[in-house]
Amino acid sequence: MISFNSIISTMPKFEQMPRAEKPVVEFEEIQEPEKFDVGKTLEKPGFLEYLQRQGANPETLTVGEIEKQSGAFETAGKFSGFYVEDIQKNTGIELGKAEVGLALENHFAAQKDSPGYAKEMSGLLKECQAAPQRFAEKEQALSRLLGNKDPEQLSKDRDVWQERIEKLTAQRKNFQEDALMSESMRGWRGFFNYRNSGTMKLIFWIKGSRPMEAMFGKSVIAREIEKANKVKKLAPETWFAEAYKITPWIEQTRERAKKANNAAEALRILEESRAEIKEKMETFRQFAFSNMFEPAQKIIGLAQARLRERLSDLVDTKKKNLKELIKGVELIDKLENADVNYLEKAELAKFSGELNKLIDRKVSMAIRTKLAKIPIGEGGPLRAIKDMEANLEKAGGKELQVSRDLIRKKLEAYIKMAAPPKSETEESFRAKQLAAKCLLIKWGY
Amino acid sequence: MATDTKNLKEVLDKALKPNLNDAERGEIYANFARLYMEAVNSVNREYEVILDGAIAALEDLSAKEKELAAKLST
Repeated sequence: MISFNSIISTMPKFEQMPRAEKPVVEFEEIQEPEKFDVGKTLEKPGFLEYLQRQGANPETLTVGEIEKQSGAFETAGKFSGFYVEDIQKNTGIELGKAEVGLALENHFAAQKDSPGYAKEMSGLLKECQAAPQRFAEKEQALSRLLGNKDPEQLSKDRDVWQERIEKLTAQRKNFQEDALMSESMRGWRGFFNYRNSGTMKLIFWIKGSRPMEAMFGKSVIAREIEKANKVKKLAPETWFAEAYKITPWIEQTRERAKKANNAAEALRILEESRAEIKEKMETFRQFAFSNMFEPAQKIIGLAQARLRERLSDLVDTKKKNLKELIKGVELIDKLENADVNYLEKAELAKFSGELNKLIDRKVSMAIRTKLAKIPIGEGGPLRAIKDMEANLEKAGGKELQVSRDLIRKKLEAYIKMAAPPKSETEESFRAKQLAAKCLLIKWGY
Repeated sequence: MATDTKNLKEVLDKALKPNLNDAERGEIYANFARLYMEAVNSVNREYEVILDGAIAALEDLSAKEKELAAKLST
């Protein structure tokens, strides 16, 4: 019968008993939400005017109502900053934050009672503005690490490393085998071994033997001799040492190859999904400028009016210089490729046509002026051709490379003129007509 | 995301119907904002995870390269 004492005696002593793990208590700091401060809110610039526009009297509003109105006001402000910046970046038009805010505040004020709307929209905007910055930093870090390598190169590297591993493994195996063989060949066994000097003599004898060469080929025998000579120089201890020296190299290389595979894999995924993700990230912007978002059309309308005004001003005012006109054409190019439809294509084409006409006229005048100023003096006709070429191509200034085709048209018109312009003498005019003809021949017209 | 966008558009289409009152429309807008926020956050998270993965793998690789070079030179 098993006694109680015997059971007790088989039990481990208290000190030997496994201890339960101590409970870990973690304290998490609870951050209290910031209390809404009515006083500070009412002092915010523009808030009282906003309440007035919304027909709300701050004296009769409850704290809860002020908080809701403040949420709508703040969100409208954040969104107006986003629109002003985006429109400025894409069109060069600077809209006022206040005028854009007006277009937005009615929308947010109408939704002030929807729980979480203003907060969610603010968070959404914040994330959409902060994320590109975060990604840019990480992408920079990635390209720094990547250096000149591309994912494909990394895969190739992996193959090279793999090959190196195999080579090193084989080398180690050879060393080990040679060492073991050498160990077992000490004493009389060595006599029958090819590393033995007697055997060497035999191999040399075989090498010289024409029938053996004919049977095995000269190179096979020569290689055997070479191998035997090389191995013989190493003591067994050295072979083992060599073999084990290689071992960590193999492990390192294998590890590296494995990691290369991972990096290549990670980069492959990144490359594959980058375009898709970028497109997804653009979704918010597309939404913000689409008719899905109520105030968007009003804001686009503001930018549209300002753009129309600017382009009309450029086309109407003849005092505008070439630099400004070229900027206008560049703006039209930008608007044609923009993802937001600020102005219709036909309207842009009309402005573009008129601006190009003005530019052409300005450049033609510049060519005429330069042509009149080119001196015909002691240098003779050759000098005149050279001056003409150098000056006329610079007629557009730093901003515009004047095409030879346009210069050709002007020179042809100059050549066809029967009488000299008022500013030129008959002699100079005739000499320049001749120089112009020569220049056209030089240019191959 | 294509489906998400479609869902979001459906939600908004409801909100843009003229016969809704402000409260009904407000509820739909709030719902839309929440859905949109979730979609944007998930996209950003996905991209960040991939970026972090690539960076970690390359950092590891470059550390191994240095280690191997040091071993080979000794």
